[in-house]
Amino acid sequence: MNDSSPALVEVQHLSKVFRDFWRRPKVQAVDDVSFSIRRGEVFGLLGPNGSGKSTTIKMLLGLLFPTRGTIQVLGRSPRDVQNKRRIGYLPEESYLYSYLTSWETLDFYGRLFDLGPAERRARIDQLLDMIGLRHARNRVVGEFSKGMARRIGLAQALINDPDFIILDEPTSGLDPIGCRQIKDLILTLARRGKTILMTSHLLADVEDVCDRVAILYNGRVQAQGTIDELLQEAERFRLTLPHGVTRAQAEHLAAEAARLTGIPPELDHPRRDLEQFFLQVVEKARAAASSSSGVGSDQGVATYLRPAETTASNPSTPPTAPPPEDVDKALASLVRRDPPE
Amino acid sequence: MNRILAIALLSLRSAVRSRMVAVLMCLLVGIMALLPWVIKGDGTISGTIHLLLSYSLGLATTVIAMALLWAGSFAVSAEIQDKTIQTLATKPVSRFHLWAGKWLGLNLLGFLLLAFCGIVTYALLQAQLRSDRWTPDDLATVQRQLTAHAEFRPDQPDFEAQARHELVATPDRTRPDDRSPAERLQQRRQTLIAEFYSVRPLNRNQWTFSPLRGQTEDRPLILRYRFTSSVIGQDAVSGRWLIGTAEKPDQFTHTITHTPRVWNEITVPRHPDWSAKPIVVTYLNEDPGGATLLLDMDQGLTLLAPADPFAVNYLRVLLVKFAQLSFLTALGITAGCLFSLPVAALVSMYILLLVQLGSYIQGMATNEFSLTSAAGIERTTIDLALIAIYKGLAFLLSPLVPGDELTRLANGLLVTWWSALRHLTLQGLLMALLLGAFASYALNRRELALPQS
Repeated sequence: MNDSSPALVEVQHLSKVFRDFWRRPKVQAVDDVSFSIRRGEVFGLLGPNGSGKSTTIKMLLGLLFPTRGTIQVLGRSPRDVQNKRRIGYLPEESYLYSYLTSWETLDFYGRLFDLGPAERRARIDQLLDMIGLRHARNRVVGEFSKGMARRIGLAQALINDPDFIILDEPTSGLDPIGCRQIKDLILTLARRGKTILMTSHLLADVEDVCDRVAILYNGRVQAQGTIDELLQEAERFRLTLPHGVTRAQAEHLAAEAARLTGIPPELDHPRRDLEQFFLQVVEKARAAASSSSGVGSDQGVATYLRPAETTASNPSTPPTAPPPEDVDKALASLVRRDPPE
Repeated sequence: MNRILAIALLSLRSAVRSRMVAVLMCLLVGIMALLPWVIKGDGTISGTIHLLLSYSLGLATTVIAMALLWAGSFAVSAEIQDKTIQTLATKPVSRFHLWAGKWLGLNLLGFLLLAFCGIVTYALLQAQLRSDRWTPDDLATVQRQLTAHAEFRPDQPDFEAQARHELVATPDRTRPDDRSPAERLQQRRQTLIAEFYSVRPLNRNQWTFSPLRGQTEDRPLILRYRFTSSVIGQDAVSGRWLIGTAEKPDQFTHTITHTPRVWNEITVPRHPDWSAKPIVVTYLNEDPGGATLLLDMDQGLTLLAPADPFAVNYLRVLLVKFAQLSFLTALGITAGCLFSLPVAALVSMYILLLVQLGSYIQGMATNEFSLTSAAGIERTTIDLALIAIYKGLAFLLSPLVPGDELTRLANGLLVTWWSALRHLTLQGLLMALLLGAFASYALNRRELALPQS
C-alpha cells in the first residue's frame, strides 16, 4: 500500500442519530466522522465500547442508514447489492444459524455468491483446514464455543475471496493462538492487496497489523494517521544495545549520556512480548501432546486466498503449517500483491 | 435463482431441525386418524366420507395454514431479532431474494405437509370403502358421491332489470310508501327471485338449462335440489318432475313425494336432444296439503353431469388448498418484514382471526340491509360508514377466506382445472408476489441492525 493508492472507501461527515419510537433523537452514535481507506490498506477503527465503531461499520454495509453525510464503498452506495460480491464481513458477534453444521454454514454462504459446487466444496475444505475446524465439519454451530463460532464467522467472511474485508472485533473470544492466527491472516490478505477495515479495542492487535488507524470516542474521530505518526515521540530517542554488552558497559554508556545531555537516562532490561512468549510455550507443549482443545491445528492460509503462483503446483495438497516464528517469513514468500486496478 | 434456492433450503432446514415439522406431523396424524372416531357421524358411508373430507382434511389444512402463517411471520423477523440478518444482508442478496427464498422454502414445506395429509386421507378413504361395514347397496350409492359432477344451473333472467322495469311501468300507488327507491328496487328484486324458485299449490314452474354441449359422457344426469315447504311442520311434499326440451317437455317424468330441507337427488337418463337443445325442467306441484314449494335460492336446483373420477377432482382440490396456503405464507412473511418479532406474531394472530371471521364479514358486506336496524328507515352516516368498512374488509379478505372446495369434493361436485389454475396463478403466485414486492420495498427502507431496546 502506498499513499497514492486510490481510495476504496470514502466517508464524509458521517453522522448517525438513533431515534425512539416517536422519532425523537435518542443517541448520537456517530458525529461528523470522515475518513478514507486506500486500496490494499489495513485500516483500524479504535475506540472504547460505545464509541461508534460498529455503527460506522454497519453504515458502510448498508445495514444502517446515515442521518447525515455520504459513504462510498468500492465507488458505489453501500446499499448496492452487486457491490456486496466483493465484500466480506465478520460481525462483532458471529451471527450464524445455530442449526446448521459448520460445513452447511459455509456451503450456504457460498451459494449466495453463486459459487459452483466444485469450487464451493474446495473452498469450504480449505477454509475449514485454515481455521482448524475440519474435524468439526459435521457439528452444528450451536454447539460451538465462542472461539469456534468466531472462526466459522471468519471463514464465511472469506468464502467469496473478497476485495474488501470488514472485521468487527476479529479477535474477540479467541485465545492468544487464535488471535495470532487471525493477525497473520490479516497480514497475508493485506500483502495480497486486499483492503481490510478492522475494529478493536485491543490496542496491541491493531498496532500489530494496521497501516493506519482512526480513534473514535463519543462518536467522533479524535485522532487519525499511521501507527508511526500517532505513536512515535519525535523528541525522544531510545538506544538498544546488542547481546553481549555487560551491565558495567551499559552503566558506563548511561553515565556518558548523562554527562553529554545533563539528564540521566533510564537503564533497564528490555522485556519480551508476552504474546510471543505465550506462543512459544504453547508450541513447545503442542509438540509434546498431539491435541489439546476443540480447535485442531490449523493448516495455514486457504489455498484460494493465496497468490496463484504458490498454489499452481499442487492445489489439492493442503499446505503444512510453518512454525510460528517462521510464519511471517513463510507468508512473505507465499504472498504477492495484486496489481492495483 | 441460486440464492433464492439457498435461502429456501435454509428455511426448510430451520423448520425441520426446530422440530416444528415433527410436531405438526404428529398433530396432523392425530387429526386425520382420530377425528372421524371422535365426531359422531350419521352412520352412513356418505356421512363417513363427509367426515373424512370436510372435517378431517379441512381441519388438517387449517392447522397447516396456521403453522405456515406463524412460521412465515417468524421467518424474517426472527432473523432480525437473532441478528443473523446482519450476516445475510451483507451478501449479494436483494431484499426480494430474501423474501422469495423464505416464501419458496415455506411453500415447499406446506406442499409436503399437504401432500402428506392428502395421501393419508386418501388411504383412510380407500380403507373405509373396503370395510366390511358397508353393504353393496351402500357402496353403489357412494359411487355418485365419489364421482366429480359438473353443475348446471337454470338460466336466470336479469332480475335487476326486470324489477326496475316493473317499478317504472306499474308503480304501486295504492298505499303510502316511505321506502327509498333503492330499497323498493331491492325488495322487488328479492320477490322476483323468490317467485322464480317457488311453485304454488296445483301450479307449475319451469326452468331452462343451457344445452350440455361438449359432454361426451352418456352416464345419467342427476337433478339435485333442496326446498322448504310453506306449511310449517310438513315433512313430505308430493309433486312431479318433467324434463325435456321446449318442444317435448316430458321426455322424462318422475312423480315423487320428497322431504324438505334435505338434498334430494333424482337420476335422469340422458336424452340425445339435450346436448344440442336447451333442457326444460318443469315441476308440477300436486301436493294435497296445499304447500308451496320454495326451492333454495342460492343452489336449490342443479343438474349434475358426471365429469371426472374422484382422484382427479381430489388432486385439483388439493391444488386449490395449496394456493391458499401459499398466499397465507406470503402474508405471514410480509408481516414479518414489516414488524418486529412480537408484533409480527400478533399481526399473524389477527390475520387468523380475520380469516375465521371472513365468511361472516363477507355475508355482512353482501347483505348490507342487515346492517341497518330495519328496512325502510333511512341509513345514518354511521350505517353508510359501516357498510363501506365491511365491503372494504370483505374485498381484502376475499383471497383469505377458505373456499367450499372440500365440501364440493365431499358432495361429488366438480372443481374444474380452470378453478385450480386460477387459484394457483392468481392467489398462489400473482397476489403472493405482489405481497413480496411490497415486503421487499418495506425491507429496503428498514434498517436491519438497529439496536434493540
